[in-house]
Amino acid sequence: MPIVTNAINATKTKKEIDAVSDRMKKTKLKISDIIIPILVVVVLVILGVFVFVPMIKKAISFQAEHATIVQKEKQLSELEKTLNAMDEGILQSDLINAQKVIPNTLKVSSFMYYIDNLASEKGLSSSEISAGDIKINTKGETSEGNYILGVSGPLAYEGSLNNALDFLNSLYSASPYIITIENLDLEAFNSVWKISLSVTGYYVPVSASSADVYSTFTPYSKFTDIVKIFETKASQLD
Amino acid sequence: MNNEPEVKNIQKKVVEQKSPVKVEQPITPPPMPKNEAPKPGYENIMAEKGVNLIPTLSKEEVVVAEKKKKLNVGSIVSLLILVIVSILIVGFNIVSRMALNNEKAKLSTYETQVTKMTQKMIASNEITERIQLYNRVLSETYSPKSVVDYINSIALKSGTSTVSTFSLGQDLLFTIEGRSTDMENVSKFWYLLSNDPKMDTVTLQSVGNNGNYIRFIFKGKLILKEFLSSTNN
Repeated sequence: MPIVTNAINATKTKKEIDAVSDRMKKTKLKISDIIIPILVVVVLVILGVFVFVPMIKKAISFQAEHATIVQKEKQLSELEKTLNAMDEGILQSDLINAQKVIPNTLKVSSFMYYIDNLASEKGLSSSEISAGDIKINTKGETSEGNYILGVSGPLAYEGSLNNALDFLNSLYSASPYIITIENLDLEAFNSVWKISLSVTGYYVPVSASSADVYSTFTPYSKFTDIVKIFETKASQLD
Repeated sequence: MNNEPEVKNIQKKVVEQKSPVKVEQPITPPPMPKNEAPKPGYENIMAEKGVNLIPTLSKEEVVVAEKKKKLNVGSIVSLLILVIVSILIVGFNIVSRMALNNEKAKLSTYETQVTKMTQKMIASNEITERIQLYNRVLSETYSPKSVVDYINSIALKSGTSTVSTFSLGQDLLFTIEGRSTDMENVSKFWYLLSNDPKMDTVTLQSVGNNGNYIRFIFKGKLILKEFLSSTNN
């Protein structure tokens, strides 16, 4: 009898254990229960990487472009104010004066005629005249387009020291053109002085007919003193 | 022989017992001990007083249902977040693009307005170019007459020295030739040139006695900024 009782108890215990393990299994979630949340997370990640991040980057670039455009508007507004402040009539008059003093072209013949005429007025006789077009590199710049254009040539005259000095003074201070003097030699032969020098006159050719509204603009009115000099020199040429 | 009547009596009793009289008695359910818990796995079926035909959820099922509920709520919240984030990002994108397009239109109008004034700009730039050339060219230009007069004044101060040849080069490098009556005047001239505030350097290149006079050649450099003039008259 005890053997039978033990067997029955064992069977009973086994059944209870099975039932308990069944209960534990039933509390766990199955794959079918969590598949939708996993899918949602996957979709979120894919959308984030391939859609949201590029959209955010694009929106940020729009913002940057917007800031640039606002800056350009500000620049244009200031340019408009500056240009409106310039009187058209005065501007044209100043331009004509500047073009007379530093013309768009400087003919060698015109320039040499002026120099020779001046020398004759000062009582000097010419012994050598020659000239030609030159292109001078601006200092420190070697790229194409950064040149100063001019007419230059060696000259030689003879006369008294006073006349020679007067001639030099007129070239320097009273010339209507922008002139530089180089390699000056003054030599006395008895009472006659021989003066030899190299003179250069400058011109600015016609520039492009369009202007970049976004480039840095400096109104010429900032240099009123030189504009007045141009006005004085231009009146000498008339 | 004696067994036969007992057997017959027994058989009679048995026969008599086989057809009992039906007595109506109420059917009572088997008694359930009150303190005894239902067996595991059968709690939702076995109720306290009978069999539950619409079973309630077992504890395990309740736990599972709770977990599923939490998961589903999580999924819904995730979806909501996804939708809100999408709306925000797309909205931000659209608003930025619209603002940019508006500004571009404004800029275009501005550019058209300013472009009409470019002739003024071109004229001003032409004048400015000439002004810059003027400054560049004349920034290192000196009056040759003022240099010659200056050297002559020093020669006059020195005594009998006279200058008969002037050579002026770039950066006011000079060579002067002249004559004097004696060496004393030459040295005095040299002294005055060396100590002049506008003189940078000066050397006596050569000196020679020609019988009646002393010839000299000086080479040197004047300080350029002392002879520059920023504007011409």
